[in-house]
Amino acid sequence: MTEVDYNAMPDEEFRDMLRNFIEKECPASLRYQGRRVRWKEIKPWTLKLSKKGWLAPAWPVEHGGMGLDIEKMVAYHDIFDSAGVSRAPDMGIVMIGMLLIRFGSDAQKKYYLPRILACEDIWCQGYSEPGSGSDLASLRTKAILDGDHWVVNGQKIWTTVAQDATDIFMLVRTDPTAKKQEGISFLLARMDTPGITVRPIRTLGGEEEFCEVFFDDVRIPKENIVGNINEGWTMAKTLLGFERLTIGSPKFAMIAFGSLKELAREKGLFDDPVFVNDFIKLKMDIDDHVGTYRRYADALKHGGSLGPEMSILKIVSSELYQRVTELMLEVAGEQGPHLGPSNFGNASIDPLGYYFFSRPGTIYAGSNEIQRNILAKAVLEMPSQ
Amino acid sequence: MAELGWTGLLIPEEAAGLGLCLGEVAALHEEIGRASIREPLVVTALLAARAVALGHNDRLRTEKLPGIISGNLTATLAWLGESTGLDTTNVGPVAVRSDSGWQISGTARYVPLANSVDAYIVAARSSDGILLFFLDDLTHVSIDSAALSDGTSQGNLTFDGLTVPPESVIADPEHGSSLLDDLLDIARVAVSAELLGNMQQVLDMSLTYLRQREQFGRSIGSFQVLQHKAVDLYIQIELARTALWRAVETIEAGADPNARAMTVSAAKWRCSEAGLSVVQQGIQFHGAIGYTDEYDLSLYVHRTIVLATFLGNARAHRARYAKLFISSEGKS
Ligand SMILES: Cc1cc2nc3c(=O)[nH]c(=O)nc-3n(C[C@H](O)[C@H](O)[C@H](O)COP(=O)(O)OP(=O)(O)OC[C@H]3O[C@@H](n4cnc5c(N)ncnc54)[C@H](O)[C@@H]3O)c2cc1C
Repeated sequence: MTEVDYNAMPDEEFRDMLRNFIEKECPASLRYQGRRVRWKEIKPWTLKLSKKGWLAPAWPVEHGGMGLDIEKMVAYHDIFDSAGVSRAPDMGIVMIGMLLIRFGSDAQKKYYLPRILACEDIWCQGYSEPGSGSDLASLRTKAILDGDHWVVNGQKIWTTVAQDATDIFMLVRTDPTAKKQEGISFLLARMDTPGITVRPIRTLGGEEEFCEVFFDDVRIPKENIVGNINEGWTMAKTLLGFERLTIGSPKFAMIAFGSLKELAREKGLFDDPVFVNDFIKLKMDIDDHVGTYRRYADALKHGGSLGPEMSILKIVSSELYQRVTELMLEVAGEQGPHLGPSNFGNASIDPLGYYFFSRPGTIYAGSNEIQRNILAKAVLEMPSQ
Repeated sequence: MAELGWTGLLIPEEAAGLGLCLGEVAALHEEIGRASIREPLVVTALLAARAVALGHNDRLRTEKLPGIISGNLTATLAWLGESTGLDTTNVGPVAVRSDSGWQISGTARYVPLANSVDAYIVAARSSDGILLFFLDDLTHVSIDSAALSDGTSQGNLTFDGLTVPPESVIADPEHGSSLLDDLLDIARVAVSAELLGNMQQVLDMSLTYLRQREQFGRSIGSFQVLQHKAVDLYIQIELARTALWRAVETIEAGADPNARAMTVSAAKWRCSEAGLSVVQQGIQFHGAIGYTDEYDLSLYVHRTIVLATFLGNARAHRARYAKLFISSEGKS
C-alpha cells in the first residue's frame, strides 16, 4: 500500500501525476468512446490503476483507497474526464464497496474489499424490476429465510453488464406485510449460484449493455445480508447520496464535446458561423456546469452537506450530453446514420454511437422527471399535487 | 410493392405508371412511415423511375422503365459530391466529352442502396452543364458501402474514367440541372411524409404506454409533466403536417422551381427536426425499455434517424431556405 498523502500534494502536482500516467498507460481504444466498453477490453488498464492504488479515489486509505478529500476528488475526476477515459464496470468501487465500508460487517469488509480492489470480483446492481423502475420501493423479488439460507425468487431487469459480473448486490422484499419501504433488505449473491439466469438485452446502439436476471429458488448464505433485515431501503438511499456527485459529473458531455470538436475541425466547420454559434453555446453551457459542479463540491469541502440541489447536476449533465451528441449527429451530415465509426478527414468518429449512448442518461439513476420532482418539492417547496 | 405497381407512382399512366398526384404519393408515404415499411420506394420510384420517365431518352423509357416499374430492374440515383449540399451545384461526378460519347470520373457519395441495385442514374457536371446518365454496366465503378442505423445501406461510387455512349444520356446539359432538382424535391416531399407517419406512430405508441404503465400506484400518463410533453409532440406533429401539405399544394399548383424549393425545404426541415424530437421524447416516455432494440419503438427511432438525414437534414434545409429567402426578399 502506498503511503503517499495525496491530499497534501499541491493540486498541480497531483493533476500532472494522473495526467502523465494516463498519457503513458491508457490505450487510445479506451478514450473518447461513444459506447460502454466491456470488461475484457478495459481489464488490463483497470489492473494498472489497481496496482498503482488509484482505483478507489473515495475509499479511505485503510481500506486500500486513495482517501481523497473532496477537492482532490474533483481534480481526479476532472483529469480522467477531460482525457476521455472510459469507465470500467465500477459498481464494486463506487457503490457496493462504499456501502460495505459504511454498513458492512468486519467479515464482509475483509472478504470483499480486497477482491474488488484486485479486480477479482465484478459487481452488478440488481435494483430495478419490470414493474418497479422509478417506483423502486414497490419491488417484489422476495427472499425468505430457510435455515441458513435466504431463498430468493423473482426477477431483476436493466442490470448493467450482469453478463460480465461475478457478484450482484440487490434489494429484495423480506417482509411483504410491512409498509413498502420498510420490508426491503440488501443482499449479496455470487452470479454463479444455481437458479440465477442472465439474459442480455440489446440496446438501441446494438450493444448488450444490460440484462434480465432471473432468480429461481436461489439459495444465498444467511450472512450475505448487509446491515439489518428490513433496513435495505435506508442503506440504498445512502448509497444514492454517494453517487450523486459522480452521476452529475460533466464527464460524458466533455468526452462527446471533445469528439465534436475533432469532427468540426476535420470538416472545416469552424468556418461556418451557424455551427460556431451552436458549438460555443454548448461550450459555455459545459463551462457553467463544471463551475456549478465545483461550487457544490466546494461547499461540501467546507462542511456543507449534499442537499437535494445536487439533482441539478444530474439533470444538466445528462441533458448537455444529449445536446452535444444531437449536434454531432446533425453536423456529421450524411455520415450521421452510419453504424460504427466512420472517417472524417483523418479522424475516426462514431456520431451515431454517441447519440445512442447519451439517450439513457436522462432515464437511469433517477429519471430527470423524478429529479425535477425532487427539486420542486425539496428545494422550491412547491405543494404536492 | 412493385407488384402493386407502386414503383410507378408518379409516372403517367400512358408510360405504364400509376399516374398518381403528389398528394396521393404523400398520403401513401405517410402510411409507409406509420407501418415502418423498409421499402426503398422513394429511391426506386421517385428518384430512379421518374428520372427515366421525365428524361429525354425514348429508347431507355421504352426499354428500361417497365422493368424498373415492375421491380425486375432496381435502380438508384447517384449525384452528391464531397460537400453536403442540396442543390445541383453539389454534383460530384464529372463528365467530359470523348470520341465515343462521355467519359465519367469522380465520386458520387452517399448513394442509397449503392451496392444492391442493378442500375444507376448518374448525374455529372460538364463544362456545358449537368447531365444525367443511365448506367447498368458497372465494371469501371468501385463501390464502398456503409451500413446505416435502420438496416439499409448507402455507398460511395467512384468512376474511373468510365466511357458512356451518347445513347445512355437521359438528360442533356440543358435540362439535367432542372430535372435533378425536380427529382430531389419531389423525393423530399415523400421522405417528409414518411417522417410524419413515423412521428404519428411514435406518439400513438407513447400515449398507449403512458396510459398502461403504472408507477406509484397510478398510470404514468396521469403525471401532468408527461401530459404536457405529449402535447408538445402533438403540436410539433401538427406543424409538420401543415408544412408537408403546403409543399404538396404549392407543387400541385405548378409553382416555379424557387417556390417549390422553399416550401420543400420548409417541409423537410420541419419533419426532420420534429421527427427526431418525437423519437427522443418517445424513448424518454418509455423509460429503459425505450432504449432497447427489442421493443418496436426502436424501428421508428432507427428509421427516423436515416430519413431525417436523407436528401438533406434540418440544418441543410434551413440554410437552403435562408439563401432563397434572402435572395428573394432580403433586399427589399
Ligand atoms: C442504460 C441503463 C442502465 C441501467 N442500469 C441499471 C442497473 O445496473 N441496475 C438497476 O437496478 N437498474 C438499472 N437501470 C434501470 C433504471 O434505474 C430505470 O430505468 C429507472 O429507474 C426508470 O425506471 P423505468 O425504466 O421502469 O421507467 P418508468 O419508471 O416506468 O418511467 C417511465 C417514464 O415515466 C416517467 N415518470 C415516472 N414516474 C414519474 C413521476 N412521478 N413524475 C413524472 N414522471 C414520471 C419517467 O421519468 C419516465 O420518463 C438502468 C437503466 C438504463 C436505461
